[in-house]
Amino acid sequence: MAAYGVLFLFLAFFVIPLIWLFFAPSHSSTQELNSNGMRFGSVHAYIEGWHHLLTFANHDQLILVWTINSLLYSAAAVIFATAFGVTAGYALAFFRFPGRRVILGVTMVAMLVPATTLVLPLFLELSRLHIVGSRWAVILPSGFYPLGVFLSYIFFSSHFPKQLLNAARIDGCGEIRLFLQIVLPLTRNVVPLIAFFAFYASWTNYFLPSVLLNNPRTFSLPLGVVDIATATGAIVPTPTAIASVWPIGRPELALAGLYSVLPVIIVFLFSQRFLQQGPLAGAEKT
Amino acid sequence: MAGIRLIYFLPGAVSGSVVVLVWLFMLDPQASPFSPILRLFGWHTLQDVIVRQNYLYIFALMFLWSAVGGWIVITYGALKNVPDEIVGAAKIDGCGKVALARYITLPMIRKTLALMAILVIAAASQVYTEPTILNQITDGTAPWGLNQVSYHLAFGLGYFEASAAVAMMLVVFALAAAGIIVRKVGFFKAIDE
Repeated sequence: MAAYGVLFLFLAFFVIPLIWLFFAPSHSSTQELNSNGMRFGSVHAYIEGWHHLLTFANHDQLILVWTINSLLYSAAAVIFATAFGVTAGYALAFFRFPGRRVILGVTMVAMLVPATTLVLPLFLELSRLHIVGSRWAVILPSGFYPLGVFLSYIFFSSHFPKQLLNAARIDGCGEIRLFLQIVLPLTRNVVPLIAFFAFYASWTNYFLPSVLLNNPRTFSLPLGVVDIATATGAIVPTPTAIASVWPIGRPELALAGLYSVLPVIIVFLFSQRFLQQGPLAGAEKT
Repeated sequence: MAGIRLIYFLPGAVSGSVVVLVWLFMLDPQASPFSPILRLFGWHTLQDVIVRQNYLYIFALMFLWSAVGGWIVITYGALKNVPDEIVGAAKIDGCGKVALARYITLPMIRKTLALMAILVIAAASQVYTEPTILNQITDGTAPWGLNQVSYHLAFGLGYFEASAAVAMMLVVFALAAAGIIVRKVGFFKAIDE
């Protein structure tokens, strides 16, 4: 029973700020929000708040443009990162080739290096290709997802029966057919995991796109939300804020935050369907 | 149950500036839903909470809130790969819950746990958002994280060499931790080594 107590405390810690965030846009002004905490205001405030958000920046519904950009970037990231991650992990787990450990080591180092350090070389590379500032600057590097490679490598090296591969090879199965028809169908437990995390990493990625993009119409949602926050000074006053131009205060910002989290919720719940237990059960006689 | 995993996971998905907003309120004893707890410590205003002695705990809480959910989901994925038959056989042999975890489940997911340990050590030493947030809230009097220093050197002062040097310090630290963990767990061993 102590276990449930601990779980409950953990849950409370995570969920209470989320509940606050969910209720925040129900107040119609920053002052009302400041004094009202967890109490619910009105449903109407959500709708008003949304209309206020749409007026940013020139009544051109920039937030919708940002949404489409985010969808584009994330779709590309999911496709590239999953494709490369699964194939790379498969190769690293099952094949012996010179440099295998070096590649694993370098991939891990790439995960440990702070993004700040990676930005400059990446920026120089992309500017040599003349794509800095365009959407390609975000789309092309999105296939680089070392965590995806590692999740795939761990899956293949810990939870996949190598004997299956040998059995198929003995029966005359070629390598490509082996991968496509035998290995891939059995990756049902790891492909959704990689795809989901690639989506999540891309959807919430702020730092790299903020350095590579400068036209607000190419921004993704995280960049856009920060753009609103700094332009309106709604959370904390910023040097360049012009608070009176847009009717956007803290409740509207909380609404923007909720809005950008919504697709993550949907994708998360949707991908749960694919995490089934035991696709490998009975694959081999132990 | 997926709903509960979602709740653990969502805080990591919230946009940076909205996280500022959330914590601005959560730490304020006059507006926070946690105010009974805050008042228990004798804090009655935001300024009481954000003092030097508390920075470590505040960073830890902020980081915990955002970072743990993702790892819960990954660990859940790893646990799903532990075959039912083995767990069932162990239980038939009379294995208790703690022994089951210690001798069967945890060793089977040790590569995932190793990855988690390495990445959490790296991420925690490279905190950037939390000190930035705290500095925004306290008007620049909070301490800086090394990653924040590196960022400011590069993009605030244009001093890329120094920024890279600071970043290298962080990498060396993370690599040392990673090296120890990789060796202990045999992380890079191929299937038939």
